[in-house]
Amino acid sequence: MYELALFMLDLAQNALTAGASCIKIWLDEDAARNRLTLTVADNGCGMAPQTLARALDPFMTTKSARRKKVGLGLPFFRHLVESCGGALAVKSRPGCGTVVCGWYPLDNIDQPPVGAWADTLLGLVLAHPHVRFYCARRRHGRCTAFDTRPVRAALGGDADALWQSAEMTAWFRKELAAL
Amino acid sequence: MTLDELRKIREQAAAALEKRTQQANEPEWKIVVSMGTSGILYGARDVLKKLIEEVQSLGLNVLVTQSGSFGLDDIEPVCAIYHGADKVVYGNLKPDMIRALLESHIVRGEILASHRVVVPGDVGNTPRGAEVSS
Repeated sequence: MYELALFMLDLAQNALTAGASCIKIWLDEDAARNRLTLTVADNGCGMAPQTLARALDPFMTTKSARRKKVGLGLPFFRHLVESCGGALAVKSRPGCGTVVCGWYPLDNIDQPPVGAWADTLLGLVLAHPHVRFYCARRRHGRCTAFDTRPVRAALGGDADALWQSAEMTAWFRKELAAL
Repeated sequence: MTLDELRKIREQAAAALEKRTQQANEPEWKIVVSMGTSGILYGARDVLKKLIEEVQSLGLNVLVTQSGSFGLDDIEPVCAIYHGADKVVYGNLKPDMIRALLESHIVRGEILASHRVVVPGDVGNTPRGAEVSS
């Protein structure tokens, strides 16, 4: 994959497949510590330790039973952060959810561009009106965040009908572009 | 606070929503884009984005959403169009053909044969859009 945003999309898709109703995404470009950290946390079904061990092994996941399939997304992301000189941590508990956190130094030449971050989040938010997305980003020392929960609250009973309307799409696009 | 803008959007849309609820509560059509790792690699993100844009531009009552991989990794990007119990799968999608796909399948009710994929479970189904739009 050629954009960090696509790795994030893949991780978020894993969370959705796990039945998450809340997904939190942090992208932290910390120049002072020379470190980029991407974290995706969800409240989905989680993984038992033996499933988690398999999830990080591409040869196991592709051939394992479809129902338990986690996909190649996680091994790809691990390959990315490790080839950029960083590391990946995954914590998961059945019934609670999963946190995937990868980091690499900001000054390495192998890292992909962040890519269409706002557009990728826009697709996720629009396609899943009932999932709460919280997205935060820090760059150049400035922190910004976007949360869909107050949006649903403000739209009230009209949230579902309005969610994919042209007006809301434009509003989401504007808000996410500020991240 | 920009949430005030949301209240404005809600008020402005109230009239249009009332009109729509009189017609139908639920979106008549549903389009699901396969968003597995291989789908993402082959451009499913841009297909999803284009679908949302074109549905709005054509003014269709369609819910666009995404799911995990369909397992059709060799013909990604893939989407499924649902209409009631009917399901038709399209593969090898490109963002620039999305409008033609929607116009053919949903507006005219004709299956776009060139990109249709027949998978078990949807054989023989045909879109029932033509009589609705005419």
